[in-house]
Amino acid sequence: MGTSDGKIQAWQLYLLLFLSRVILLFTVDAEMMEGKNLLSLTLSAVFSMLLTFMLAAPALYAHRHWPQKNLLAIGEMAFGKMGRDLLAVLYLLFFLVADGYYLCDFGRFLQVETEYGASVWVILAAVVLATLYCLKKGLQAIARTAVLLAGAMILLLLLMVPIWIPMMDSSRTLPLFYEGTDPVLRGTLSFTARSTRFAALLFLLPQVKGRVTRGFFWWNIGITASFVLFFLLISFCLGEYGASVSYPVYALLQLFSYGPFTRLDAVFTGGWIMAMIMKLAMDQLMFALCFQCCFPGAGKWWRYCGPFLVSGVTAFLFFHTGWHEKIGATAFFLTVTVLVLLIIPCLTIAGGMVREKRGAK
Amino acid sequence: MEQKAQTFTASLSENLEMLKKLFGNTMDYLPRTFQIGETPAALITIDGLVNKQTIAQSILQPILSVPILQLGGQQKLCYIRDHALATVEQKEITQLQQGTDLLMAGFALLLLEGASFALAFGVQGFPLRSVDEPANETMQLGSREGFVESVQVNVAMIRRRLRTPDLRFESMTVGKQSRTQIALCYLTDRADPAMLEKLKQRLENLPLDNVLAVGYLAPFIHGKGVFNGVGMTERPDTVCGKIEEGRIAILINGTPNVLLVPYLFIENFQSFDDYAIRPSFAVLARVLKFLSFFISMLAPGIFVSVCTFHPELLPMNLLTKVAQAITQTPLSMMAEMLLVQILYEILREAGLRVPRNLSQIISIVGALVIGETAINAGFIGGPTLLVVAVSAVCSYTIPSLYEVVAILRILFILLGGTLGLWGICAAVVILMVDVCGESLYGIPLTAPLSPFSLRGMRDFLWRTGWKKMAGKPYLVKNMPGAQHEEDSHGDK
Repeated sequence: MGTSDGKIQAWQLYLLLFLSRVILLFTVDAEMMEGKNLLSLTLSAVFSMLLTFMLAAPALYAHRHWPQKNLLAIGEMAFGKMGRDLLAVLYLLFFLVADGYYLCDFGRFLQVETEYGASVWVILAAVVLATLYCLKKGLQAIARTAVLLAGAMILLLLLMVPIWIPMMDSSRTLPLFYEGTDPVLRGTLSFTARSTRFAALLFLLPQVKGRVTRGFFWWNIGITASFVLFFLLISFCLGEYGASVSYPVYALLQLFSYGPFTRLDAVFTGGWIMAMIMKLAMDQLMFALCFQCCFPGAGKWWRYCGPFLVSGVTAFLFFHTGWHEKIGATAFFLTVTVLVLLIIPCLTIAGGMVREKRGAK
Repeated sequence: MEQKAQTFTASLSENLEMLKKLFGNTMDYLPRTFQIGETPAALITIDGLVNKQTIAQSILQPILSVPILQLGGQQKLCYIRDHALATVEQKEITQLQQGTDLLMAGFALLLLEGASFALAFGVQGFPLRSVDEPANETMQLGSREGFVESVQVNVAMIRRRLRTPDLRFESMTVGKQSRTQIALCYLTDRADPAMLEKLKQRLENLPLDNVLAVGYLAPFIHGKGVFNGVGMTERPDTVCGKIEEGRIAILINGTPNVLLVPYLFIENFQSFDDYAIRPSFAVLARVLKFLSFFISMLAPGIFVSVCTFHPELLPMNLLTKVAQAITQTPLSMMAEMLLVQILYEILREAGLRVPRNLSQIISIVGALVIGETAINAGFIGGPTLLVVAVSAVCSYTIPSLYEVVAILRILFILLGGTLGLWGICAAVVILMVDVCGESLYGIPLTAPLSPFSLRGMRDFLWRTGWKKMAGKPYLVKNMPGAQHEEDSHGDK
């Protein structure tokens, strides 16, 4: 899988994470903060940024201390092979559930918001097949593609922002703390809960060259700034209407009008698909790492098709059993995120350091 | 017939017998026996490959007029080699295989009784096409010379343009039956030695019997992706420009096309004219080519998907016209687009194969019968024909990508008609990953865009002026992401 060097630059990783984070932007709605004033989300984004620095800290610290080891390798050092295998199973389940959730989320969007003339499952299968191909090509191919896609997306958004700015009207939005501080807090927790992408740092940093910590700092600030900009646009362009729809960014794009270019909602969905393929590919890479750890004798077919089958089946189950809403609840999501990004890594790192000191003695 | 490592012997009759066994009764095998003094000798040629006047003047006349010396066969041949002959190119050979190779290359072989080696003289005189402007690569500015079928002439054309001793040509023979001569051309101070070595290994291990065109070699050199990393050109100035950037050119005897390795994806949008015209216009030309690439590949598929699944994307005026056209035709948009696309490809293929005096008929049939009549009869719609025509014209701005784009176009039409814009997006991502994941001899195909190099961007979508580029060559082996240890396809 990939080249023997297989390393990517830090800025490539962060552009890949940008694409993953953009999906959060696409799916944000007033339900996340259980309020009507989308302007509160601007502060939520800023506070969430501070919390995500904390969530990413274990991964960045581990990379500084053991630059060539991912979480599984540190786990083996700390707890032995059984500990490593247990970690692998935990994160394997995590990626499986996360990917199934996001696929299901997209499927529901297609079914509910768009009048898509074909079966939703056909397009989801196409997305997962595309992900499978990306997985086969390896991390470098995924990272290079992410650079091109992210660049195109950023350029497109930058070109569109000046079109929206004249549509902004301060009379459409409510004052910032109109509903109190609870929506800000709920929005913060909701964004933080959906920071599961940072699990990539735990597994991929050994394959990254360059200024990782400094890069993460600037990346997080940049992402937050773009979120704040979009929430301002949504609030001032859509007002309370934005709070009543399930996908305000989608609604914003429907309003776009410049010459012959109108109703760019299809572009929104296309962008979502492309970003999702990259995100799923990154997750499947990590899934494959964990899978290989748990089942080292598994053939190539399983390593490639396993993630494909499992994610597809998971998404199908979530779609038809109502588990999608339960998993999407902030409390559950936040618990999983804190466990996966903070608690388990901290314990593993602590165990690794203890073992290292004992070994040194 | 399998040829073991046979060598020439001191017996002339044995040598002649060996050659007779190899060539049998073929009519162009011409052995001429004669005497030099009292020593039997033979001059072997292949009829049609040699210049008989040169043989008579430069070989036979000097040999037959040399003072007769009382020397043994071996010494006599050495005396003839050193004192008598006027040919520039002479080789001393001992292996029978080498002798047959040289005979096929237009050499004459001189054998003498008592000498266990033969002398080969370069007396080529086969008919050659004259140097002319390549029909497939015309440029506004620059040389009007194009390569021909003879590798020697092509080598000379490159040598005349790059008068540096660093320019090297390494000869190889490929094809077990065709024994085609190829020449690797590179600059020693710019080419990557590891890449050169890997390329030579691949060429030495070719399993082909015959190499009659560049297309025979290319699959063994390029990558496995959709867009391969091997370029072709018929222009000596282009080859010189490319090897100055550290690439390796492969000249093949019998074809005017030269392979260039590695060939980055961005090079499909560059032409030699870009470096001869103003940078600002070169930028415009390249941007147009980029746009043409996307239009030719995606326009039919996007049109089908928009008409089928996303009509809200069309402005109202256009939407009414398209809707009118769709209702008046019997086929679905996807079927109609596929039909027109296939018809176009058939016309194009017919245009390539038809004899010249019938080519006008193809134009008439294509334009009038298929185009106008089909629309008037209501079989196909005007918008469909327009989209196919525009995409076809766009595809000719990037001729090196025509084949790939033609196939992808059909694929995108199928995806657009079945999955809509979402299917096209997924396919575009797959294509991007395929290109981004490809490397050739350690050089990523998408360099210098991804992996990114600011310095490399000076000749990417825009072309920096010569004042800035002069004296600072950006070699392909220094591209970002270049690996020099092993081939990233997994061939080690």
